[in-house]
Amino acid sequence: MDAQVKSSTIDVTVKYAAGKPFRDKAAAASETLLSLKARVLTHFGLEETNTPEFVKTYHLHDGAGRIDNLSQTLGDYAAQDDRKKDDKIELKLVEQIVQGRDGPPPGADALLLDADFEETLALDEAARWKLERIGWREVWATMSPRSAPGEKYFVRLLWQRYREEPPSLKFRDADGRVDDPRAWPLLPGFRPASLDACVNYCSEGFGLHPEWRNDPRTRWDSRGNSLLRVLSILQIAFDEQYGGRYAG
Amino acid sequence: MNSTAAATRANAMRWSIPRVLWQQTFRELAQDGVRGCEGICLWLAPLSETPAIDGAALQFTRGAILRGPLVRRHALSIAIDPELLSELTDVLDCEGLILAGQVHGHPGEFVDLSEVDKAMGFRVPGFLSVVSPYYGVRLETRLVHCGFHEFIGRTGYRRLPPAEVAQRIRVVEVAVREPLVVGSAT
Repeated sequence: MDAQVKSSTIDVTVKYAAGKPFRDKAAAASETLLSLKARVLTHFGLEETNTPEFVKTYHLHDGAGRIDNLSQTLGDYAAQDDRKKDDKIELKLVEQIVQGRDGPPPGADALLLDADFEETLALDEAARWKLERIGWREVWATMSPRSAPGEKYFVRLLWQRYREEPPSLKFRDADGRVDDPRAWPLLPGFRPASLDACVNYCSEGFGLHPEWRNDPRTRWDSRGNSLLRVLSILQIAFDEQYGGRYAG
Repeated sequence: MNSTAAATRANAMRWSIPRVLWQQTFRELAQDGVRGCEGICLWLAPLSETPAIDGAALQFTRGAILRGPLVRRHALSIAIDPELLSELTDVLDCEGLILAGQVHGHPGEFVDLSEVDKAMGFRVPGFLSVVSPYYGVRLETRLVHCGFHEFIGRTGYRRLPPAEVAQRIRVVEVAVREPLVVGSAT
């Protein structure tokens, strides 16, 4: 009877890099690995998440790598070759870690913006701008007209597909909001009250004038450093055609 | 009890960082930072230390740096594959250490945790996540320049305001071995 009872339990240890090991000396052999994983997560104070933005999951690993079949019982797992040693099972709880200002590059175009951003930073004209890389396809620039160097405008450029398409052009206020018309300058084609610009170097302009896409005089040029081109056009407009700040 | 009140309890978590470890960390971050990439350095503590929110005083005793193709560094992110973390787990087990904190660099002056940082980082209660500005290339970077964030179970990450950093984090003058290297260089 004692031998039968003893064989119905298994000594299980699960190690995790960021916590003291989980240990159950008498885990039921009939318990599934899925159930064990739930107890292990609770032990380490961890929770899995699955949202439209992020999926954070943890996996059980053994010496051979990730264990995919969590529906198997501890007894079935331990019965497989080399899985159990001295009536003990040792597993690891493992995850993927992603850190950073943004997630991994979403596409090759994002890496292109990466390169163009670095190229732009190295240019003399960039000395007039404060450039920040906010996301893989988003750049913030602080710019001023030559006639009013104390007037700072916070530009937000956001691409859906870098180089291939023009960026969305918005102006941020001091709190980072893009819905304040007073964050906008008065420049040709700019419509602060509508929070957009009717110009052929931003996506909003092409939304207002779809015919621009096929007109060789106005269509978007996807060649070369698009970031630099948009910033340069903006700076020229600031320096030569600035009409003050929108007052509402 | 809101998170602020919880953190200012007399028994809030406190951390000690060896000055040598701080310097090792920024030498590591700078290697990637000068290439315009985010870098990371892991901070370890003895297994007998428990990063719990019950008044523990934890001293980091060593760093760990990651090498090889299973850690991918980019301008705006750094990703560590599960297989590399599995290897890290084995190394820490042999050394009698646990992972209790990490430092990674952001471009520019943003030292808050991004949404990616919060959702996809280490989410263990008591874990300390530190963000350095300028990719960590400035070797004179001090505590006051960085963002310190502790993970509170169920609540998530909370940034320590400057007064709490001064109260709960200190730099200590103790000897520290060279960082553990995890992962292959090829």
